[in-house]
Amino acid sequence: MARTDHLPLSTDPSTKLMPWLVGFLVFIAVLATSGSMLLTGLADMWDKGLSGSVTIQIPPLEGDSEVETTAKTENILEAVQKTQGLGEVRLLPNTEIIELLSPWLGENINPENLPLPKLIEAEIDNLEAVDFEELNRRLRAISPGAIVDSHDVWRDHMIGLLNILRLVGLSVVALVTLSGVIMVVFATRGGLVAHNEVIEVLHLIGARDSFIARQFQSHVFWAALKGAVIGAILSFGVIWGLAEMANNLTGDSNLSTLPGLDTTQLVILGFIAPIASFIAMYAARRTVLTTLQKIM
Amino acid sequence: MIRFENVGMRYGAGPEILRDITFTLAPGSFHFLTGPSGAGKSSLLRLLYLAYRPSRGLIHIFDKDLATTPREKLPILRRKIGVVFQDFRLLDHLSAFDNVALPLRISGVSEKQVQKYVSELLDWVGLTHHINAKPRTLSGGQKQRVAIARAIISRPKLLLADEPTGNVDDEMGVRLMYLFQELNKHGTTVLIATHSQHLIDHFGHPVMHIEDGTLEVPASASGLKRYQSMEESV
Ligand SMILES: Nc1ncnc2c1ncn2[C@@H]1O[C@H](COP(=O)(O)OP(=O)(O)OP(=O)(O)O)[C@@H](O)[C@H]1O
Ligand SMILES: [Mg+2]
Repeated sequence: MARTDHLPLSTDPSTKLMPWLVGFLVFIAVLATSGSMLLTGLADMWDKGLSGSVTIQIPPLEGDSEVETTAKTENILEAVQKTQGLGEVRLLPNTEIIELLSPWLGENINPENLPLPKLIEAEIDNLEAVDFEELNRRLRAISPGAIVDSHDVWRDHMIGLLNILRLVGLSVVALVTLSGVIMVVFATRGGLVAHNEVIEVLHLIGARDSFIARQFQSHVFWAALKGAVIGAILSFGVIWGLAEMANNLTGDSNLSTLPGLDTTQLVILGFIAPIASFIAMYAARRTVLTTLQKIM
Repeated sequence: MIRFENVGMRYGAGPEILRDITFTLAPGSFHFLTGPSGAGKSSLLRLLYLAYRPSRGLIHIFDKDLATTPREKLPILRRKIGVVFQDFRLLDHLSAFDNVALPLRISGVSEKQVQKYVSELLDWVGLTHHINAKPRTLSGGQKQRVAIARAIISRPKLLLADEPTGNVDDEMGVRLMYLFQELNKHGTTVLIATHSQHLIDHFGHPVMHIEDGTLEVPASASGLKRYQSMEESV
């Protein structure tokens, strides 16, 4: 048997709007949360150095003969190869270095006139295992001018930026929650005023405040859930569309390197709609109870 | 069971509508409340059904001092009081059945019993065919009967009725009064505000008369003995 609505809330203009507003807010919340999750994935990926490599520069030293430089380079190569956490190590041939430098120095460089540095590139297998300070010390001992460039600075900047964006995403979720709560509070207060005669009769017949709160609660819960589910579905649609677009832009070959949303994250996103409905329900309950407390 | 001592009442900052009201209602008693229009009958009943607090004086309801009764305890007291409001105050969005069922549902009576009791009572007040009607579609007399059914459905300890027979013919008026009599026989204390000399003569219960905010009480409601013994003990 259907439960009797002891307050005619479903026809209220203020509560009629509720599904739409909650839907809109949940739409934004799901987008912001999934954005934050993607950024977290990206930051983790960079942090783990999946795309990382380390470059070692050995500038030619004043007074070193060609033979000496080559010998030092050989020693450094060996030291790098022995370093924990690094994978494939490669000495870049001069032609490749000239190619790298050409944007700055022009096409026609004569290596005879220009002392070229030696460049060694090493893949990072496991970032945590690499002790960059120790590596630096060892290489300096061999050639004082050796520079280890692990792209740390660039990576840290990017991760810092991602963290800021993540924070922005979370703030959006917080703001959306707050505005949702404020909206429910005002709609509920409006409902209490609109139905104050019915509420008075209910009180006089012996209804407790919690009985009246329950009327509002269940109404607000279902209204919010209706909107929230629709908002969440639309949001998932947009996320899926954006993901498709991103894949088309980067090309299929890169697909595997983009961080996606794992099952846990998808479940969390799916829970946003019911959580929002429960928050709305609780806000309505608190509003009714605190407002009614003020009358006899 | 009910005791008023020097009770005064005003609406907001307005003039005192009721002055020095002192009376007692013994358990199981039956009184009429009369007086000219605007004398304060409805206001006195409002104090009794806990819609307003007095501006001064002492009110004991079911032997509880109202002034020291916390707000959370009021619903329990109110559930023991059945009220027929002068303007019915039926809930327009609910059917006759759901209006009458309201007190039972509020007290958490099982739906099976609600169905049984409400149908029986609506039968008795002659509204079998209007069970699903909304109040808007009922006549004044039919609404009044729904209001009475709602007031008595939970067998209250105290029944307050404000002009409960104002909209029905004498025959129906007497029939409804028998409902109140029946309740009274089972122990319910009854107070009925009415203009109808016909009812008063027909049933012969003692009359409390209110005029211009002050109350004259018959011996049955003066609580004289109790009051005097209290004076002495002070
Ligand atoms: N809600 C209110 N606010 C302010 N004044 C009120 C209110 N209700 C009643 N009054 C005033 O209180 C006085 C007593 O009114 P009340 O309704 O108690 O009289 P009554 O005896 O029930 O009259 P009637 O026989 O017409 O129903 C009147 O002067 C009325 O104007
Ligand atoms: Mg009146």
